[in-house]
Amino acid sequence: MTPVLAVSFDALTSAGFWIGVGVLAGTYAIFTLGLQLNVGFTGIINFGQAGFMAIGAYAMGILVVRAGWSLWAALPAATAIATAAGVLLGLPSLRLRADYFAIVTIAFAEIVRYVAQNARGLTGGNQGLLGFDDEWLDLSDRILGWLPASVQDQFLLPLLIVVWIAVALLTGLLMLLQRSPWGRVLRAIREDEDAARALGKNVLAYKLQSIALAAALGAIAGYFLALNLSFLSPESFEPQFTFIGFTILILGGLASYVGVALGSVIIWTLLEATRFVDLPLAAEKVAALRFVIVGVALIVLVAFRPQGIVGKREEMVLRD
Amino acid sequence: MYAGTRSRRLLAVGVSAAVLGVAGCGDDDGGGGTGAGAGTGTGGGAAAQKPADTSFDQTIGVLLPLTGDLSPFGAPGRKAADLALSQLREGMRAAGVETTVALQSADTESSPQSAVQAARQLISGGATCLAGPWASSETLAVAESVAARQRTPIVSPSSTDAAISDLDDDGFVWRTAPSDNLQSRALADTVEQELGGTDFTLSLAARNDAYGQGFIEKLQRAWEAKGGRTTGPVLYDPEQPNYNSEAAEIVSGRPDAYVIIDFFETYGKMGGALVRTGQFDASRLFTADGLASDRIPDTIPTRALAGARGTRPGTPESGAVVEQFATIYRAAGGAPRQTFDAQNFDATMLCYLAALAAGSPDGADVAEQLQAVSAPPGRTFTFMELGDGIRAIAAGEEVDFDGVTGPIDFDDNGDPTAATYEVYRYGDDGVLSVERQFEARAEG
Amino acid sequence: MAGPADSALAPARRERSRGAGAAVARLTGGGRGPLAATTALVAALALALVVGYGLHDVAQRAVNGLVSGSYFALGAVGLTLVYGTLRLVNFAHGDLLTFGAYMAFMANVTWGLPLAVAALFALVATAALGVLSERVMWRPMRGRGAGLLQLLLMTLGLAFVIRYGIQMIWGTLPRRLDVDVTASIGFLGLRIGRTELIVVIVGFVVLIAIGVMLRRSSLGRQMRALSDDMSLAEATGIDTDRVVVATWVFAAGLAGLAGVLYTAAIGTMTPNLGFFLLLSLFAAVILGGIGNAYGALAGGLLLGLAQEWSTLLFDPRWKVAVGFAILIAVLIVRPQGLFGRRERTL
Repeated sequence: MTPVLAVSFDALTSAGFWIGVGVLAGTYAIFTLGLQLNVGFTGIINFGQAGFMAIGAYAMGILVVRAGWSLWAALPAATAIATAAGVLLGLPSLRLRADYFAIVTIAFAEIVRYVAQNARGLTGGNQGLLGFDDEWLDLSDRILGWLPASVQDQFLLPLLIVVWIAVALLTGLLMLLQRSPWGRVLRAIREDEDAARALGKNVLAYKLQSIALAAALGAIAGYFLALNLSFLSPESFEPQFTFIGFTILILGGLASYVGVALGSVIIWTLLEATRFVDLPLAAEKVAALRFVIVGVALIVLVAFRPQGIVGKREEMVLRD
Repeated sequence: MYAGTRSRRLLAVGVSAAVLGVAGCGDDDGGGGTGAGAGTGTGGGAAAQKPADTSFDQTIGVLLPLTGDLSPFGAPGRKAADLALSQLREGMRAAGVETTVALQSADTESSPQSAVQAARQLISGGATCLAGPWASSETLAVAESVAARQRTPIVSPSSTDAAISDLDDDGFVWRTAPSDNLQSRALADTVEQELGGTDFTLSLAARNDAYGQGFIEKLQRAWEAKGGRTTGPVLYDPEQPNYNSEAAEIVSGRPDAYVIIDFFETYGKMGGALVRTGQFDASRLFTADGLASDRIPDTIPTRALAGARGTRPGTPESGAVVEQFATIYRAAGGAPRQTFDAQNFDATMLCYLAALAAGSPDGADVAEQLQAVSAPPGRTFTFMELGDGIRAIAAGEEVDFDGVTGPIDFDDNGDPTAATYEVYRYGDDGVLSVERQFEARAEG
Repeated sequence: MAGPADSALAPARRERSRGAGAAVARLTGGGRGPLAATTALVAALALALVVGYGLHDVAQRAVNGLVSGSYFALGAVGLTLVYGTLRLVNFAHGDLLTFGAYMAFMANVTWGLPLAVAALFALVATAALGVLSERVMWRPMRGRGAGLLQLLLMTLGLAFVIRYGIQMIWGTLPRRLDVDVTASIGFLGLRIGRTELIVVIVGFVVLIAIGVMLRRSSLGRQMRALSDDMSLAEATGIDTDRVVVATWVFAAGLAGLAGVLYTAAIGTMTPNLGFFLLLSLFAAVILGGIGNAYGALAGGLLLGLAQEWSTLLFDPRWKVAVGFAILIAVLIVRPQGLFGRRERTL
């Protein structure tokens, strides 16, 4: 058996590969928009975003598969559920110190994943949940029909289009919100919480809103994840995805919503492109190497370029 | 300044992509993707008329768990696929058909999500039929998101979850491993045989995942349908900090036998805990394919498995086919035999044979022919008569390929209708020996 | 600009010291109260369980809980020491346990050294890794005034690097130390593994030694002073760099040892082991009151006990969730934990 590199060239230049990367990048861009809102603009450290993603995705899946709802009805309902979860989580814990809050959010995300693994009747457990996307597939086929014939075999293309429309809309929405009085209060809270409180702002309420909105964004990212795989399983919501989100966040730049999309594309291109090496002995090592690179990237970025690519130095909220 | 940084970064990405691409341009396994039928006209004197289109290039994708929970099966599985490829090439040469086949493999990391990504990438790279994936959870995921949607058949060598038979997959999901419906009943039958009756209490336990849960629940039903008694099942997580309490529960009440369904990774911990209870007797343990290996790995305390018995999908014990497979496998060096390796060998072969019967490597065409080439009616042949078989297919005849693992004979659900199971036992020295075999047939 | 605000992203502020005497009192949680209350609670719980499930089952599970509690405690003490001195929540701490386990594997299995020597080697190697991280990462970042988020993210990155670095070198297949995991000892109708017993003994001896060190040695006093108020400690002439390095030596060394003991007790190691323990370690730390070494010890033991006793009530699958539930419950109801002081957390 001669160890050779696989036909990576073909796959790397294939449209299918880039569309796949694009869908993932878009999904995690939405995921990280939530993180940006929390961390970059409100100053709360949310390590539990994967948990909101899971709640949204599973709520949607369960409503469709177990309760027989239509997908289109399940989406807003699941978003509401995730938002409520955000509020429920935030109410007792937002008053804690930032580092404690971070721990609580990780614990929350792990509990959600654990429940997903063990509540088999509801979530399918480790076997996963399938069959929730028939209505989406119909829509997807219709969209595909509107596209030129040359791309008709790229069945993920409609999802790619929808995801990036969502990214654009949500980014625009967040940027608008940021310029609004509400956004200004958030920024004030990030800069100096006590001062904001002294000015009479109900800091807890604003933080709750921030986390609720982030939860909704996480849930939306969860739907795209679910539709991408047509399959929901607990391992899609492991904490490493939150950490990848943070890497994207820092890479793109704190306090820049646009940077999020950019960061996401770069990170996912790197992560997916490294699947191609096909050395039988080194395959395990390559899989591990991908994450070592993510770790190193995170450390280096945070240490040397915390403003990321498009963040501005003045916005570098990581310093005092 | 920021723009400069950004474009520098994009350039870096582009360069690395190009470097990867250039490096990758160094061959894959055998020139799939080169021009069609460039073979020299061989003197393979087929007297019968060849139908048109017996020249095509096929890329078969091989999804393997090279890392993750199922990684012990990855390297042997890959080796088996490579063996199938070399046999196929010899057969093609002997039969004088001008087709070329290449293999491309990808690591599924034993994870459904990665399996889906890997499958999509193989298909992007030109694969039109996939051997694999291995874990039932991976197969379910790939079936749902890739197989039917991208009109690419998958033939799993090892996914035994019963749910796979019921998938609404348009005929794109196949497997050369029998459903756990069969194996759980087979194991229950074996326990009955070994214990000499059904008036016994079995203590059941399994790892808390698709494979373990599904299997143990079916076994419970099968045993209770026979009139036996069970306790449990005790389901445990692969990543617990401590297994002592679970072990205590499994051995409590002095059951007549235990049935534990697990993989080696977790059993390394559970096994130790079981022995520590002081009440565990491995010779009363029954298990399945997840804990079957030619010898007990050294991460498992020997006393946790020595003397245990189990069933696993196997290869018929005797017969020229099996012996020949074992011979060529040994001769190839590298990884030792492992459960499901022969199943992967058969899966890879079937991908090609179906394509040949269809006259095209196109996924949908291959899927249509998989049942036909594997089942009667038709002229039967094994990989030892591959040249004859290929010639027959190329001449338009009906065939019935019998794999190393048995007749296969896919049914309408894509499952093999007959499966050979082996009853194995671990000796006190930790070496596995096959005690006997039996064939199990799917009901209805 | 440099206000006293405790926004999430500003470097944590130190509280003012209130004298050495108060510092000692703080260490024991302000008195005997919480200790007595906790003991009473545990005893009551035990009694209730015995009534429900019988003495044997409760006692056996208590023994199991003691075993897991030992390595929880060892890991938790290290985590809390670092937090106490540096106000750093080290998400890479779990991976220090993994590192220790694999170092022991290398020494014990690859090089063939006896397990005790290998454990010592693992301890030293992990301590070295801790000091290295301090020199290369934490000290420069402190010098630059790095904020909380920055440090947290760097610990995350480090966690990835360690864990996947180990995976690159040793792969994902489980590995075993050269130790007999099957021998067990019976006493009073209960069973404990022979190796497990050694784990418990070693764990306790080490923990007691650390406790004594913290209380009596000058280094220990300095560590506690630093933990109380770093700038004041500096002002009184303590060589903070040295003390910080010492803190890392102990914390990382304990973590490495915990990893070895965990592997010896449970049988196999994989690159994930530390990460899966990490949340339980957080739970133990917070249960005991963050920054409080004795609290971490108690927290670790209590967590082990709670997890094993929970298997009487729930399906064992939910055992791990018990740790998380405790974590969240404590943070919501009594954020300073059992033995901490209120100000430390809000």
